Amino acid sequence: MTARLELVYHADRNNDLSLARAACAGDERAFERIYQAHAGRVHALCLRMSGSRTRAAELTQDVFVHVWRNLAKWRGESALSSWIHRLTINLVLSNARSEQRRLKHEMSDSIADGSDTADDEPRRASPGAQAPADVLNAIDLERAIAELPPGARTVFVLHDVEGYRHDEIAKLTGTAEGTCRAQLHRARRLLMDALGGER
Amino acid sequence: MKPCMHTIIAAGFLGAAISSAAAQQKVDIRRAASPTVSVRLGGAISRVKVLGSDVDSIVLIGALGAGSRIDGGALNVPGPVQGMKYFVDAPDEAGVRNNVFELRVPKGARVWIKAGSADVEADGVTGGLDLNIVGGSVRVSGKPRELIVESMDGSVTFAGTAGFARLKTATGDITLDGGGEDLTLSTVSGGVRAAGGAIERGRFESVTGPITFAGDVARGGDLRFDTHSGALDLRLARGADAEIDAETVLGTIENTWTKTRPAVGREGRGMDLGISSGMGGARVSIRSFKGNVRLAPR
Amino acid sequence: MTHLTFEELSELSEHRLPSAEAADHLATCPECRAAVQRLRNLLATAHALPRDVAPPEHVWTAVRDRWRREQGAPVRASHVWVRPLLVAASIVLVAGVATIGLMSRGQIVKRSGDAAAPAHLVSAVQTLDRNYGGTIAELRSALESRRDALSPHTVRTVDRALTIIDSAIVEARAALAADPANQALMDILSAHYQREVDLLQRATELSSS
Repeated sequence: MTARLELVYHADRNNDLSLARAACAGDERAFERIYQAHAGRVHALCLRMSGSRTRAAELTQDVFVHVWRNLAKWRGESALSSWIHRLTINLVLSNARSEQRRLKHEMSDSIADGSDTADDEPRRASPGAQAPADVLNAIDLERAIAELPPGARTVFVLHDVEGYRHDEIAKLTGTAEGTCRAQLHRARRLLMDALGGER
Repeated sequence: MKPCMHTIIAAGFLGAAISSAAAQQKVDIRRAASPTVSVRLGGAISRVKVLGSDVDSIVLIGALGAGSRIDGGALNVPGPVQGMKYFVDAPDEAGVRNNVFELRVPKGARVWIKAGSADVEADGVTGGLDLNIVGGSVRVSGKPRELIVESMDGSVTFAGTAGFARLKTATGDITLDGGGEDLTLSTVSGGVRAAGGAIERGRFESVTGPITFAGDVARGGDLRFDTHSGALDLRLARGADAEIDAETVLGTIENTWTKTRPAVGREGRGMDLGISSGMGGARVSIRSFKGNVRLAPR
Repeated sequence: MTHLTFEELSELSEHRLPSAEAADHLATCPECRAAVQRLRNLLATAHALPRDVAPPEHVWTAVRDRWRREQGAPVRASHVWVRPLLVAASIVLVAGVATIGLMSRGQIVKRSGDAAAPAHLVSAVQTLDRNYGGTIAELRSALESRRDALSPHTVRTVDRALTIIDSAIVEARAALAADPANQALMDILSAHYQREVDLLQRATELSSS
């Protein structure tokens, strides 16, 4: 079974490599195939990390512009999907950072400075006050994620949706692991509030 | 959700001071609170005023109509309150009308209000406000970090600046007197009026409602106006740094802000207009299906 | 009883033990155990969110146009401000190729016509319809079943707003039939769909609160 999986893996990798080479050589159809194969994944990530449909469409567009401009640098060491995934995260984060710089404004929710100490304080919970699990469905959750403050949203999406570890997120965002954890707790608390706070 | 509410009461009921009278009952609840306390108030309310202050306490005072009752309490027992939740029930519509409250909170609090037809006023809250009504009105002033208002036919007015604001109605009017970093004003058929402040990123949307904008575009800002058939009236400071692109499918475009004339649109219908003014630092996009667009100096 | 902090509950939801005291408390407190379970439900839902969410069709058109520009291939000029067009989708409307399900007041309005439009253009509108049509149908059905929970005033307001949006959708579609390559129109249509979803979601929430 392992051998079979590896064969499939190599076939995919080889296929990706040939598509990438063709796209680098100017083959539009090859590039379109790369786009069609990865656009859904990229868009989902942009949508959740940006919290905005409009912004997600713009970011997805930017990601694929970056993909073709840098495709020649991808040598197949990692899967094309992983390479594009990482590129997406970097682009979304870098976009958020430059937006912050442009606004010359310290966002209190930002993971860049971790300044939101008020929300990092331990909170006594009233466990019984939350909503039953059955209110948690995907549509509500997507909507609630979009309403999270940017910093908390980034960490929640990367950790709880995408499965990144705190040390990886800390590296990606250039912040301390403790700050990431605090943002994650904050995001979860806000989501529980949003999803279960209504009577 | 009823069992949850009962648990709250059991865990930390504050002993709402409700004095009974034949027709009306007074509500007077006071409690020390965390500076970032979360407060929810919902149900059969006709009027509520939320006031943010420097004092770290929660005060809920008001009156309940005959037959109405208020349930709820704090989400934690010891120490300053970090979360509170109240729900008001009324026996009938007449009862709702007499349910009137004033809620004083630390300015950094997050406040949720959810009511049917109600007049909600909020002032001085710098934390978060999430206000949801069907009818009536919402009036917010101050500098909330996050402001979310949803209403069906109730009007929404915001005077101040917000880090993040989403103001949505179905048929109610939306009025903004101020600005902020990331604002969306969206309605189906209500009117949208915005003036008085600089906006970094703004979205103004309607289906049939008119949109009037007389605010400032922040340097490097990004404003978008979308309507189906509402009239779009933009009044900008002369010489403002902006790149403006407008397009209608069937509507007209009238420009007296600059001398640039709009062109006839695709296939002889609608109009297009592109203007680059000053350093072109900000971007303004205007899109209308058949609403007429007017661009004029302020 | 002093319950665990939210941070402790959050750690426990990932099967991490913040402290021995927390473990002791958890063993004796059914409320905190229930809270941990609810958090685990949240995490399970988050983890199960769809990995793929198709972007609007205009994204590919925009990427492709930029690609062609950089490759030196001819690209049809497009308006700078408008998000790139959904030529594909709109052409379908002219040709009226496929059957397009437009949810309108709980009914499916079928449109059909000439089958001359290129197949790849058909898919764009179908994608738009698929993305919104199902959601709108579900929400309308949910709202219909809970209509009695809303006040007559709210029902009237929601109906009025839905009628306005539906009319706008019909107008935008008719205009697309006359001008199939109009990117602004496709964006307008997409925005109307989104508004309808938003409104239905809000109304459904009101009816269930």
